[in-house]
Amino acid sequence: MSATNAYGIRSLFHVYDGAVALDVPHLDIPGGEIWGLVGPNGAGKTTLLSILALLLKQSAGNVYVHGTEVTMDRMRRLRRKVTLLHQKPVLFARSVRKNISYGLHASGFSSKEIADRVEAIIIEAGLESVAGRQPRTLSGGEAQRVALARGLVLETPILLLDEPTNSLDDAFRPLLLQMLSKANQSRKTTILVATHDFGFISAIADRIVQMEAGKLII
Amino acid sequence: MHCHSLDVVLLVKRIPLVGLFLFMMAIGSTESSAQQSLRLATTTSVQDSGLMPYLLSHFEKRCRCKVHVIAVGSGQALKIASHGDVDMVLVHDPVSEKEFVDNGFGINRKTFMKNDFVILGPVSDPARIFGMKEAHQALAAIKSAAAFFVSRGDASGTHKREQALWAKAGVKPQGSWYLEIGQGMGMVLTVADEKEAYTISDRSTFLARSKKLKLRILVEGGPDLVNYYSAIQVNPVRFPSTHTALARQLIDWLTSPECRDLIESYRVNGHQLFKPVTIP
Amino acid sequence: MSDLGQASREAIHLIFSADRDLTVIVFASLRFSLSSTLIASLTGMPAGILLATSHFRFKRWIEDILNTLLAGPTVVVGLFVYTLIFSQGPLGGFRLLFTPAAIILGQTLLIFPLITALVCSSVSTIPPIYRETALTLGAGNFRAVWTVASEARSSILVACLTGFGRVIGEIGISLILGGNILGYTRTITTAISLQTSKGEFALGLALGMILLIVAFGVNISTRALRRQS
Repeated sequence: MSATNAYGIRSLFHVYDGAVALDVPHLDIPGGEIWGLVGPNGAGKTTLLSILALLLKQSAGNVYVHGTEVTMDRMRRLRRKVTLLHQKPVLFARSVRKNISYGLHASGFSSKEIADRVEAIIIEAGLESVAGRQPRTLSGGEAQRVALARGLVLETPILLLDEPTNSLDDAFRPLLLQMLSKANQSRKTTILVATHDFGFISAIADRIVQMEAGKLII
Repeated sequence: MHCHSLDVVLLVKRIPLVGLFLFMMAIGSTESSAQQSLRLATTTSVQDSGLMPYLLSHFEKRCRCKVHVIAVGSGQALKIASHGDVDMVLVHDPVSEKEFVDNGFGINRKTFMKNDFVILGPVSDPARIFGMKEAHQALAAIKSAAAFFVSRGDASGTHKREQALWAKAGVKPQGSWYLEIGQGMGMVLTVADEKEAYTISDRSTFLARSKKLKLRILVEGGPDLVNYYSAIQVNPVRFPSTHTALARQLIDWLTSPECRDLIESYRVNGHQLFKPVTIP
Repeated sequence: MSDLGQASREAIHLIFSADRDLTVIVFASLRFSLSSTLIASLTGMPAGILLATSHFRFKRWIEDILNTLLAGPTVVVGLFVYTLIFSQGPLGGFRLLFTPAAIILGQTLLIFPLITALVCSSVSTIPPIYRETALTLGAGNFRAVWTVASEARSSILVACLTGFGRVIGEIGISLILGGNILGYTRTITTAISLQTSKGEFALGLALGMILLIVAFGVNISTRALRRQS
């Protein structure tokens, strides 16, 4: 199994509620690339992302992350290489700043490092005016940007996004594109975006894959 | 994902320890500091008349200890003592007391004071018992008239005496006129007053409340109504962890001249409630 | 009834003059109930959180047992503990009967299932996406559980307050296990019971008023916390 691939998928099969949710016999996603995953609702995009984020255990088949097979005891360690941004993200009941720094605290960075990174991304995402506020006082678009910043600040090697432009204010779509491009160019972040928004993803994707009824159409 | 790392289990195991520690602190903080304490089970009649707190306040100064009084009926007091949950009892049921000592539960029984029982009733006196000389005859009259009668019904000294009197009269107290409430003297007086019923009470408890009650003493006097109070300490051979020395000290004090004077001089609403006695 | 009117006036006087007998009883009640609520909360919160976030074969059974214990009448709990701690019982050696510790023990046992069940219920209503978010942001299992629980912190506090409300006004346990000893184990409720049985209403009314004020305070706090969540 090649270690230069971000993901290796073999004979992946997932059943949910008595129906086949995913059937992917073979897929390699090279590291450092940006892929788009497009398809209608119910195609299995979210399920696939959950499995790739190591939040959901597949019914059958193997997943490899950077060449290492995913097993129960490696789950936590490997999970730290991936960050998933949910379709409708939730913010924790704490200030914007504390939300953004959550993952950094969990990974044991120093206070100084945390403060620097958090402040930098707050500026980058245009969140200065709301940095100290509580989530319930934010607009939908602001909350989406906070969730984005919270995930991106971790700078994990792999980034998965589920319909990121859904509740994002149109004005900030260029910002998202910019932040994703920057992550990919400067840190070789592997990015996988599940989306309806063909126009959005085609601007930066190296490759676009279609999904339908749990299968990939290549 | 439903795998659980060791962390959760460890923390959860630690919390009950913290809880136990705090529990111990709570026990410690709520115990009286350093003072010795004596547990006394007594009857509600002695407690409610105010005599017990009065006497004990003197004794506590003397022994520099604390006496914890649990006030229940004589029957219950003796039961608790027979488990060894208290250090001594102060009751007024000679038959049960002798049994208690004979069975090896108690030692050092000293009878130290007396009062008497009275039959109370409404001023209207439907059973016409006023002035009768024999208590059991009065009870028979109450049954004939089917007038309301309130009983302790709780195996207390008062209740046992009441039952003895019914037996002497040769009648069984049964029927809707006979109200057994299973509670202390204070409650009995309250209910009897409310229902304008007859009842038997020790004089002291009644006198302590007579101003607020409509009940009146209708029958009194005679040997059948005399009531002796005794103190017994729990047998240390049977229950080694009781405060034997303190209990002995209190029993000795109850028969001392100082205590006799206090009992003799104790007045409520101008009435003397108890008389000290010495039974050799 | 003028008797009641006079008793009420006396009661108010007792409260405002901080009558010694009154304050001793009130502080005793507060001490016992706060202690038992503290212990039951410190043990019930992790128990409830654990129950909500784990899945094991007997989970359904435990939930059913808890729900049954919730409605435990205080006299039943009191009786049960009595059989454990009286001299002839398995824990008789600790001489706990008729002490404050016995009351605290009984009250703790009374509200532990209540707090556990309420905390479990609060945490269970937090949608799974919170746990997933914590995990994907790098939290380990323990931190993820802690984060999810802290999302429910208002309702968890309400659970503890509910426990306190249950014990501050209970009499079954205080009476059976405490013995209503003056200055030692006499609580607001046992004192009210005694005073009423003696036909003396002033102290009873004063204590009752204080109890109502405490209950009112608990209710207001609960409402404020509910609004936050």
